[in-house]
Amino acid sequence: MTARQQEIDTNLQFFLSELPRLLATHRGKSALLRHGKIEGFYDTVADAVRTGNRLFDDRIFSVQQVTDTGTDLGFYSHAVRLGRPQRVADLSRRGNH
Amino acid sequence: MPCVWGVHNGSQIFLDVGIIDAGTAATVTPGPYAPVIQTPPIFKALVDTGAEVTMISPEVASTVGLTPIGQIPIQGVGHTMTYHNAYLFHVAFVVPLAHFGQPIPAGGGAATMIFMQPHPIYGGEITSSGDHFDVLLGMDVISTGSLAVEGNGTFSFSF
Repeated sequence: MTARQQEIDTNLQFFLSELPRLLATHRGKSALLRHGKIEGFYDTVADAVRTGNRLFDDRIFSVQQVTDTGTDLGFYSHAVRLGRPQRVADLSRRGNH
Repeated sequence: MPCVWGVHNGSQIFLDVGIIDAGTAATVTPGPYAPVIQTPPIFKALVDTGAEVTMISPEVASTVGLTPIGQIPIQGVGHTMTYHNAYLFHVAFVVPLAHFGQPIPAGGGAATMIFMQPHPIYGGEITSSGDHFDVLLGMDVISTGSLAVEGNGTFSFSF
């Protein structure tokens, strides 16, 4: 697993544990995360990525959208196995321990 | 207005698209779509009006050299939700320099021009569908143009 992937997974666990609180204050924004901490909120994913690239020379960061709504892939969501998924419940549980 | 066209099989529409890393894409000329000079890697896409966003296979990510930037929640069966690696990329279309309806030589050889969407797409990763397609072209891209599916077995997408 690359350092970037590890960062993404770690940040996602933290993000999901904070999501209920964030939905109340930053719904629809894009959160820039680094080392399990939120560095800021931006209007678009592209803005958050641009800022991350500018702030962190090692490019070790991730971006998560503040939403509790899953993206609907229509037929694909229901009929085809989705690759390498991680269940939210599993991630949340790991994040709480 | 650039236009891509082809034939559909009565149940599915496939077309070729280019995928370009948003981090390395050249500065895009302002406008709805911008022509690009260098041909990007081309992949087979399934046009899916039921998909909210465009998704790519791991093979596309590795061929283009995309780096994941986060994870995107995907609605599954029932109330399940799964997280998938997400990428920021541009989608490009291969537009034949021929008149609409004019047959395109089999095996390539037709002059083409590549048009890239100016706004980056935030799409996720799905498992490969075997040999069927590598890109699930969702409404985030389809809604930027006009898709026409004809009863005579053809389709066109203009943008």
